Amino acid sequence: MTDSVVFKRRDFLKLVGLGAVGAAGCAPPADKLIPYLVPPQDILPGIGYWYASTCRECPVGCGILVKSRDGRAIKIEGNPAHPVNRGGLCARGHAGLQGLYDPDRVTGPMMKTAGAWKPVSWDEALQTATAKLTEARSAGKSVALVTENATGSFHKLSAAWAAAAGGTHLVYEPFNTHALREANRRTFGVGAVPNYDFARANMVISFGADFLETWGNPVGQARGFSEMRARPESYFVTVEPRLSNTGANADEWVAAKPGGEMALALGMAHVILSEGLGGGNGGMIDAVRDWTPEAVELQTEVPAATVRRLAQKFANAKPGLAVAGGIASQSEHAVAMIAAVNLLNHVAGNVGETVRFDRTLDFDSVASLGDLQTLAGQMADGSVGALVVHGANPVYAAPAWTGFAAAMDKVPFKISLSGVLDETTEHCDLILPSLHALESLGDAATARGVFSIIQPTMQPLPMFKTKAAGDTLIALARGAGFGSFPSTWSEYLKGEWRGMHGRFGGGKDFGGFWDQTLAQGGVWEDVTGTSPGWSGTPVFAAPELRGSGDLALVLYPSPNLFDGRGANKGWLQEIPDPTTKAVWGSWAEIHPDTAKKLGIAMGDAIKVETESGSVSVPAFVWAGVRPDVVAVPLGQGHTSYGRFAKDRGVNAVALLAPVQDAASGAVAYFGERAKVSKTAAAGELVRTQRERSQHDREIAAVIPVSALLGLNTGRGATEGPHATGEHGAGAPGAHGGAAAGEHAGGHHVMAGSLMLHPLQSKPGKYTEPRIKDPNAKVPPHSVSAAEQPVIVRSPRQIPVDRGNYGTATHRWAMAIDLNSCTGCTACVAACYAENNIPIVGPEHIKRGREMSWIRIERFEENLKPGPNDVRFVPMMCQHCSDAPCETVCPVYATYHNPEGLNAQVYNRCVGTRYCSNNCPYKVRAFNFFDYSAPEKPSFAFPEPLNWQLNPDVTVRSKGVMEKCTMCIQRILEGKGTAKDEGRAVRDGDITTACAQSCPTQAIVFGDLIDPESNVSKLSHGERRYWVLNELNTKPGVTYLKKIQREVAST
Amino acid sequence: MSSDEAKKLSHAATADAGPVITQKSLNDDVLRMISKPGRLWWIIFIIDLMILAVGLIAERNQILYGIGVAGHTRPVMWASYVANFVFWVGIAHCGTLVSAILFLFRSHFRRAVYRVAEAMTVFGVLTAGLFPLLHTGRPWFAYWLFPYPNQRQLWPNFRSPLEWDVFAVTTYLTVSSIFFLVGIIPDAAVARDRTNNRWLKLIYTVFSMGWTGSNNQWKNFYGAYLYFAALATPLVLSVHSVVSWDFAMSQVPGWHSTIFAPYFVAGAIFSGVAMVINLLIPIRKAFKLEHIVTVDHIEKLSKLVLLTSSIVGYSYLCEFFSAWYGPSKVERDLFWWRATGHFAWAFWIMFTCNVIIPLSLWFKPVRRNMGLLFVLCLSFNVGMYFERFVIIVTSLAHPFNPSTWDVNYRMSWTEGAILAGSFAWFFMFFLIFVRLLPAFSIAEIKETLTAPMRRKPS
Amino acid sequence: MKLKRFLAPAFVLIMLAIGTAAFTQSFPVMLGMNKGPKQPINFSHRLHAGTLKMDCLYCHYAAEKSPSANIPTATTCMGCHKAAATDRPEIVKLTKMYNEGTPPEWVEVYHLPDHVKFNHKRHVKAGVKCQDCHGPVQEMDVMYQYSSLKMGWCLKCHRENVNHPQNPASMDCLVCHH
Repeated sequence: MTDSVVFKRRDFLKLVGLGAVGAAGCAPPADKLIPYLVPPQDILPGIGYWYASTCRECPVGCGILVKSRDGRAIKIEGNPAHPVNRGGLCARGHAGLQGLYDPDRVTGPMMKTAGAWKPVSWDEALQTATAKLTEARSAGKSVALVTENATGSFHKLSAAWAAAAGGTHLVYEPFNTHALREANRRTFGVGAVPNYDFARANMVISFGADFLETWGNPVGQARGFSEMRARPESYFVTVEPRLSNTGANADEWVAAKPGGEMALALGMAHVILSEGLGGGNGGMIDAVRDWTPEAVELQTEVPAATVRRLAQKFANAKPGLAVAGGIASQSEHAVAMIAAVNLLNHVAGNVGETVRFDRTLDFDSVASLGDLQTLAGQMADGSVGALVVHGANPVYAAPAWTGFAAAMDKVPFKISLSGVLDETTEHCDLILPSLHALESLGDAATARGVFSIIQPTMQPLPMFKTKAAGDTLIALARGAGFGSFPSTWSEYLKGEWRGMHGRFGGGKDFGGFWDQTLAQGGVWEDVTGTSPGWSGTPVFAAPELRGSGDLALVLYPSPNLFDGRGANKGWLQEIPDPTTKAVWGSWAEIHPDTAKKLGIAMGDAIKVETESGSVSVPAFVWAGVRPDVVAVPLGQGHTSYGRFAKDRGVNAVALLAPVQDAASGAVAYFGERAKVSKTAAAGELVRTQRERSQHDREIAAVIPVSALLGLNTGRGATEGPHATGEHGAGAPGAHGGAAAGEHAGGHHVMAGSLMLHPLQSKPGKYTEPRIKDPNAKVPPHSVSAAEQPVIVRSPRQIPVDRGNYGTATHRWAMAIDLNSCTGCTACVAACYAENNIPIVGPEHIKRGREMSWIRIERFEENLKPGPNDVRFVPMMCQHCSDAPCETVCPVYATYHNPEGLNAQVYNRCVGTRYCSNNCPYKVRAFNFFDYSAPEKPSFAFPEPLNWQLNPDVTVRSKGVMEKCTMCIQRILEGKGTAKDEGRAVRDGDITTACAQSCPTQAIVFGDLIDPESNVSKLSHGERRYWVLNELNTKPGVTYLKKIQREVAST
Repeated sequence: MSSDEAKKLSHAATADAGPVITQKSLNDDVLRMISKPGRLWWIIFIIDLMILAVGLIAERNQILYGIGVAGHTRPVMWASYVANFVFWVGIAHCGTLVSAILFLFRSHFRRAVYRVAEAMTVFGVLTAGLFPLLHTGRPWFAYWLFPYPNQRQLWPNFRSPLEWDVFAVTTYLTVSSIFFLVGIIPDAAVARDRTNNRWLKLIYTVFSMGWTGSNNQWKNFYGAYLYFAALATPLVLSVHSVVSWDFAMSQVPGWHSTIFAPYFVAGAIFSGVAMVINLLIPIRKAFKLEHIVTVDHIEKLSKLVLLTSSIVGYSYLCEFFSAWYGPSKVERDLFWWRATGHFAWAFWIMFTCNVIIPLSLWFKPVRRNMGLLFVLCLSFNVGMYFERFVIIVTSLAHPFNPSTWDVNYRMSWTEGAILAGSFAWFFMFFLIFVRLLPAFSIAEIKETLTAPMRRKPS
Repeated sequence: MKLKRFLAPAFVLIMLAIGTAAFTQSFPVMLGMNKGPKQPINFSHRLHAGTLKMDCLYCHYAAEKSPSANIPTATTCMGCHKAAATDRPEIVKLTKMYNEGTPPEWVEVYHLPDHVKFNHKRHVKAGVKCQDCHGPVQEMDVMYQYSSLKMGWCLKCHRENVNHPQNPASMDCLVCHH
């Protein structure tokens, strides 16, 4: 079945344990069992241990817990105790594992000789490097060090290193926050990235900020956002020319003219000031005098009435929150635009309330584009003798006109500390590969008052000869004889933390303090922000679109690939983009009208041209962009960087004009016109979901606020059938005297969804109401919150005395709140990691053969500017009590287990695929090829990716069906722990991978039998409904309707 | 009764300007077929085997790399293979119908044709039986579908329509082959007595089961034949009903319908009889048997085709009507999409071939024009193949959940090869059959002849 | 003549019966063909577990704490053999390996395919004796596969204990196959 996959995985740590793996039933080869020579301290084979660390997939630095099993890191989860992300984790975070096990990692130090990379020994490599460094310094030339925004001790080290080496230390981040910090410095006098409190805001208006995807601290903000959305009266307006995934969650989409965001903000400020709805001084009134709603209407095509309405609503929100960010805040007048939004926040009295400068994000040391160009200049004129790059990839991410790539060739000797062969590394002469973040020791201080630790979660992979970047730097410094550093990186780090000891030690000795820090993943303190006043109103100027062409170009960071550093991870390539549902490539989004004009259809190859460059991509035609806009995602189009990234899609940075924000020196991602024309070939647009309307099938349901508030919450969450139902295993509310009320209620609630249901077939003439025996005992496996209150056609008896069916005491179920789900696809990534799901590549996804067990379905009810209605449904196996798939399987490969799970036994499956045909939700994935056999071309886990495989989950072989198991392995583990502790399973003991990783906690897992469990309360709340309920499948997954806010017509 | 039948037959014979049949000539004519095969036969046979080889190679790839080499998608998890299965089971139908049901109804035109039809049935089932196996993801475990005691203490799921299929098809195969073998006994005996090749003699000895032609044997023979006919008759209806339940028992819109059983049976007979005609016309031409298999016989068959085609057509309309009239929007959407959507071409081919073209059979000249009839019957079979394709693929491609729509199925070359291979497989058996066993029931046709040494029938 | 008729079918039937039995039952053990593989070190369970009455969990300590029972590390062995019986050739071999840092490569005796998840901890805690599955280890000089590890063999015990008061055995496929 899966020999070599798991076999390799095993002989790494020389551990006995996991039963070796043979073809189903075949006689196994005599495997060698090799024990440790010396057993590691209290580590048992076959048991997973969790290590707290910090995510380094983006500059935010979420706290993570890494599961290490038999010495291999196999799963990453958010650290609930960590203040930055509070337990959630995004898809990119999960995919960190695939960076660790990237089959294309650099195997060891390599020297470029005659244009080809030749492996060399570490000693040789270090000698060469030090020699070159000394040479450079003796020649009086400077040594430049370019790093990512590492923050913390490593930042200190590199700064000190560069200083000692007599050169510059440049921290490069493609998406920096210069404009924001500059604007805040000018308006508030605090040059920092504020902490936006979405949870407290009653109204959020976002000026282009994709705060649920890549901008700021997406996971933390998403958590706050969901808390806000839980309040029916809250309101979210998005102002952007292209409806981002964040915008898709908005109640109202104001499609202002590209670049009109500032005018709109000022217009609102004007209304607030002129109508005296908020605070403000005369200076401000003068500043916004010209921006009357009517003037704004001319500039932004937003009706004056709308401006007024929004302004009034915003002022009355108390507190509201306006955020400016994303690409909109990266124009050549970014500072002015953000300042306008700051002004809006100020006059509405949100500063200090929802815009706080307490837990600010640390981007302070990030270099501006100007700095990069300066360095490029020095490099070009030969004053830089040696260049050391770590973590940053400017050759790919910085526009060509910065001249960095070209200048690199002028530098005599370039050293890369990168572990992967990215574009910048390709330009270097020597690679001293560093450890992956999950292998290395370090720390990060990404947010004020938060000092997270990065600890090695496993010993470095044996096939990669790598060194900690810190150690390499120190070794170079010592070799080249500059600076004075402790002998090793870990000493340096400990030294730094000794300083922290005093502050956080709490009387412990350093050892204890250090251990505790490692255990909890860092230390953090509460910080109070200075609530700044208004220090000055800058001059406002709207950005002029440059260049020819009739479409405004919008470049946006891909939610999955970020600035492109995610592109070498199969999961992130295969997990569909939340907006277009496209995978493995690039595309350009245009409006249907524009498309019609140009004669472009969905998927056609088009050419997007600016004065700086052009790219050819398939067209994605949808109404989520303004007719005068073409939007292209960033992050693809790598020329190097591993098999998954290389030559996929296009790098849209090529389209950038040589423009930057004069005030802050931030690169202007926005501010260009582009021509779009049909062209010959431009790759293929591969999408996982093509139909974007749900055809009134009520798969994604909403409930109007009025209806929600109108509902008599008499039979709300807490009370209800459970509390009264005396028989423990009794189906909630379906039976007994207690059921009567529930039934009335049931009808009352159902009325909307069942009686008037478009799909609901009329009860036939001869259908009987189900006769319910008051003391009928429904076994757990057939319990579902979805007890049909209406007639059923065939009452069926379930055997309660067979096997464990009678004795079972749980019914595992889920409740998914569509009001919280933002469609971010973090759960999908978590599921890939937990359940050994293979990636199949674009060719097969074209045929709907993606293997993911959970997908985010996106249904667009209304895409016109104004009332916005885009709905997301996380769709996985519904674990129906009357599952259509179970009856049709000829061999019982899928059956209903005593605890209500719809089980799939891989090794019993013959592969008739009847179950998938009969599944109305289409959530079953079939192994069309052998993704687990290394000798097959379809092998999905090339060494060492197979090390990530979860030993508790079978790696499925060719020709079998698979699907969501509600993480049965986690359920069994949880039940085992409870048994060992001699207690019953508590609510919250067990959770699934998807539920755990959800940044907004939209997914809740638990036991439906336990009336007090969170899931059964939610499953009987007033917003509950079941997808395709009219099929009477009695799903174990209950969905909660999305709350739909009224949007005024103006 | 036999006499007037005889009149018809002999009359038809004269009408065909063929020689009047006598006991002797009949033996000669029929047994001429199983003399040494000529070049033409060999050429056809070799080509047939080549096609079969291609099919086998395709199947080998499929087993080696996985079912993915076929064009299946999610949601279209069943496609050509299941269509082939239903198609061949359908073909296999008319044999038993002709031989058993018509036998019980004493409609004697069957006598000239039933042997071919039965052979077709047996080989049809043999072909159909392959597809449930090779469409699975792990064919090497397909034996798990059979209920047998095993150390795992596991049993198959008797609620699954696929499980019913296993029984339906195996039963049908058993009964129809027995029926076939019983009917062939006396003729095999004739062949046995004629041939002087010892190998052939051995074979015929086996087939004739020590037949001596004694009175007693004839008595038992007809007794047995009658009972088997009675036994086989319900199967004709049951088998394809069960097959149809593979679909009707599921809840897929477009499948979940009570009309399926009769609808499938009618369709099966439709395609089956058409296939018989397609086989008979070349044979009677090739072996100059126009006087034995007369135009009347063929015409009667074509009337059967006409009847069943109208039943099929009615079912189509019925489905659309209930979709329009019924409450289910999903159903409505599906049928609208079926006739107008991505696979509309398939639908309209089906409708034209199975409903519109057969209307021409209302005209006697068409029914009696062998060449034309041959072409028409071909088109019916094409139509029936597309019927299966439309039912299976379009229904699956447009399921409840719109998020999986538009992932459309495209037949891969592997599937094409395997489909061709299945035809080759079928014809391999059939070619051997016509050269090895009497393709026409000498014994029964003789019944219709005027017994020698008698006065001419008044 | 008459007899002949029955011989063939009878023969076939007997063959089938034997085949089935051979596949389902662990014949070798039944027939006493209990031959284990040659191990790098001739470790005798009879001596340690039998004569010296050492507790199984002393070396295989993970069996009660983890899904997988561990193979004892060389250190565990040396715990005693630094002092005990240091002169024996096998111990000399072991000591050599230990000092060279090359752990002995034991040959696997009990093998489960990947689609079966067996949990030692649960069984040990439920009071299943090591011997119930691994046989009279204390009498084995060379370790051999005692039980067939066929699914039927697992089910036999599980079926008997479905209604066990404290630790009811599960008959749910998902418990072992996931």
